[in-house]
Amino acid sequence: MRLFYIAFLSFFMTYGQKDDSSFVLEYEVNYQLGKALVKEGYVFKYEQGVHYYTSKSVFLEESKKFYVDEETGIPNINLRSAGDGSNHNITYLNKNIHIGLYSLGNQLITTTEELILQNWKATGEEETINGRSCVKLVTSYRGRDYIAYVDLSVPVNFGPWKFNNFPGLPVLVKDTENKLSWTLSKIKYEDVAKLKKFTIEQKQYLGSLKSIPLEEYVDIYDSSKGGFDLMVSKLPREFKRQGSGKMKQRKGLEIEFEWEEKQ
Amino acid sequence: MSSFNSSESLEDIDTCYVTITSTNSDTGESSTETYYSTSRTSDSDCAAGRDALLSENFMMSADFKRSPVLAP
Repeated sequence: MRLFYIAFLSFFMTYGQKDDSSFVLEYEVNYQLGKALVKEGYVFKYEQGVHYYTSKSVFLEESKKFYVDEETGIPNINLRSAGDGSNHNITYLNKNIHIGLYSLGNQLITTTEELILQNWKATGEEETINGRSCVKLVTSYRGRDYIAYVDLSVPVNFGPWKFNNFPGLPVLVKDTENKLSWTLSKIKYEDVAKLKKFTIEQKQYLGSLKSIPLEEYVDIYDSSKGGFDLMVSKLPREFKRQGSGKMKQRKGLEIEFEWEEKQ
Repeated sequence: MSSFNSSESLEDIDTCYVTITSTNSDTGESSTETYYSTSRTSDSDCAAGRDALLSENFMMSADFKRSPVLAP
């Protein structure tokens, strides 16, 4: 048994290494949290860091910056929060630290948090996804229930965004409300030198942004109605708010946090 | 203003309205709120305020107030 474990661990540590190249997992990312969007996500491991980044968001419905509502006759102006929707995350497995990027109002900020190891539970179900034989696993994470279809024949323990601790390659991860999904589209090999260069640039980029603890980010997110109040923060005092102005519920990827009391 | 719902009063009809839809670039989370100005009574003045908002020149559109009445 011990020999088997050592052999498995050895295979795990060297999987994807082709001399001077290493593998990158490419995902199609879909969010339906308001305005539906799609983007490409890429994740790879370099030394002790798992690096995740996405392309810019492509919204499925075109929204003009200005239009007049035909029903009400009221003109509408569309504003976007900071950035083009591209995202960057780094997870340091040896330190159990995750660094994330958030678009909050008119600025991009980074947060630092302790990595939560996810506990994926077997359902006993199997399914073929994108031609790969997968087992169906489930877990809950920050207010959402997730399903992962994992190919156990490929020894990968990380996934896109904050997903981690898989027993194999995550081929499809989605929430049970079908608002979020990450679908593996490709496994490609890149030069290690190229990946190393990217990790340096990614760290520099994230290091150039304002950094706050995750708890502080959540406080600002809540008090600014998801950051939307910050987008019109240049409004002078004559802009008076009517009504409570409080956000009824969070609508992002994470809707509950471990330090909060359950409602 | 071509049509209004029953929750609005007649005095709203001459009010200059604009809605602002804010969308999170990363997640697609979206919020729409309506602003109004009672001081911009002419169509041209209303359009000028709207254009100021459109160009994100909020100082030129300071008289628009947030209205929860028309917000979806």
